[in-house]
Amino acid sequence: MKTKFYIGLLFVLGFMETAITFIFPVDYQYRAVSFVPHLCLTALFLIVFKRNWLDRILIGFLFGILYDALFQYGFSFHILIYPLLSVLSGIFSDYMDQDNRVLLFNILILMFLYDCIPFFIYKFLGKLSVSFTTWFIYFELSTLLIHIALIAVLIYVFNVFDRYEAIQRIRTQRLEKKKYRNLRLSRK
Amino acid sequence: MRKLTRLQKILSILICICLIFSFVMLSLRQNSLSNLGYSAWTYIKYGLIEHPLESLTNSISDLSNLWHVYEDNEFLKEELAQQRSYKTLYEEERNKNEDLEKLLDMKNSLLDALTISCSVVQRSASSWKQTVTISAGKAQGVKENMIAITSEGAIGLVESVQSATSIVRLLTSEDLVNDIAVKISLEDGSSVEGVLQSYDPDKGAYCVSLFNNDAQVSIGQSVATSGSGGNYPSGLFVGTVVDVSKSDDAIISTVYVSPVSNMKSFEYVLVVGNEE
Repeated sequence: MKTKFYIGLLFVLGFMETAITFIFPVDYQYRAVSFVPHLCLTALFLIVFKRNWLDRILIGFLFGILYDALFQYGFSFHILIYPLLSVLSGIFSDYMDQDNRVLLFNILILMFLYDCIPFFIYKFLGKLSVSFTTWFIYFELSTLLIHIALIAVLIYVFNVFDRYEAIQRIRTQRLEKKKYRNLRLSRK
Repeated sequence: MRKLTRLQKILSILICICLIFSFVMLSLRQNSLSNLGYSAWTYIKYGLIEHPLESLTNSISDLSNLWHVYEDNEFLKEELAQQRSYKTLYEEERNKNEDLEKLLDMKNSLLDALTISCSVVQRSASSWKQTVTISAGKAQGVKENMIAITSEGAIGLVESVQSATSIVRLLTSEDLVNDIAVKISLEDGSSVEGVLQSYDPDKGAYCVSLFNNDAQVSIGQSVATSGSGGNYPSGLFVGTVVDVSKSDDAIISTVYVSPVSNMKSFEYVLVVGNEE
């Protein structure tokens, strides 16, 4: 059930990202403040940060391919950067599991890296002429600020789902116990 | 080598399938057959997200444009209402301009006479046909018994003069104090003189008595001042003959002369007198 929830959630978040980008298009001339939603990426980090490193790489890789195939037009750098960031997301998994603030901060850092890497690559290749300060003020700052709220909401959604699953598991176990007790009693 | 868990095996298989599928789609990108499958997802995305959002945006934009059109319409209605008043103002100013041009022409034709240009200051409704107050008085050189003319012709005599204004007794007044000496140019080139004595409100014409009752005066002939008596020159248009009244023995007793066309409404007046 958890897998179905994650797949459904990723699809919904992918659609939401497309819708938000359509309603609030990015100003690539950096004249007005704009932002890019990274809902799918946030959900990915929340899914994988508790898992082992191989799981993180494989899930990140699969996710990158699906994202490129469904929401981008052709191959992009997501199939490389998603596994890389997924691995990095689980480095402080113990602390992130204990404190949601550490989790939020870690995801913000990873998101910043996710935006910085293509910026510096394009800057190095000479395809981008805007300065880092301008890019940060008009683009990245608003993205980070908005994602503080979005990440908090997603963390809450995941926590609620985890609690729901725990409750379901406990109920199932209780039913199982009851069934076995009844079976034992019937045999006696 | 550590064995892969069930999840890792599933993920590896899925990754391989996705990679193969993606490479196949890439290689078929230029082929029209691939467009069907490749475009299917694009159409789904378009149908679920982009088209509804675009429709909503267009609806909001249409509503906003409709509101702007309404505001523009209201503004243009106000402008149009103002335009009508501008048209009226323009026509009024044009008429004034024409009037003043005619008066100027008249002034230029009376080089030997004293002419004083002025405007009507007051004309009360109760004495509309009796008197008008003009904006020229002693200071401008106006004297009693000077004749007042408009762009169409004579309209009255100066009755009283103050320092800056004067009162003109209109020729249509019932109490015309002084008679006006007039002359009528006849068809044979001669002229007959007479006196404008009063105004007949029933006929709407001046009553002129001729000095020569044998004169052949006919309807339509022009009547002008003769210059005899009074403080005004000759040749100032007074009116047009509209009727000739004969006595029992076929002698002309009274000639009826219609006033000038703008007697009922004029703004600018030229006071004319003899040059000293």
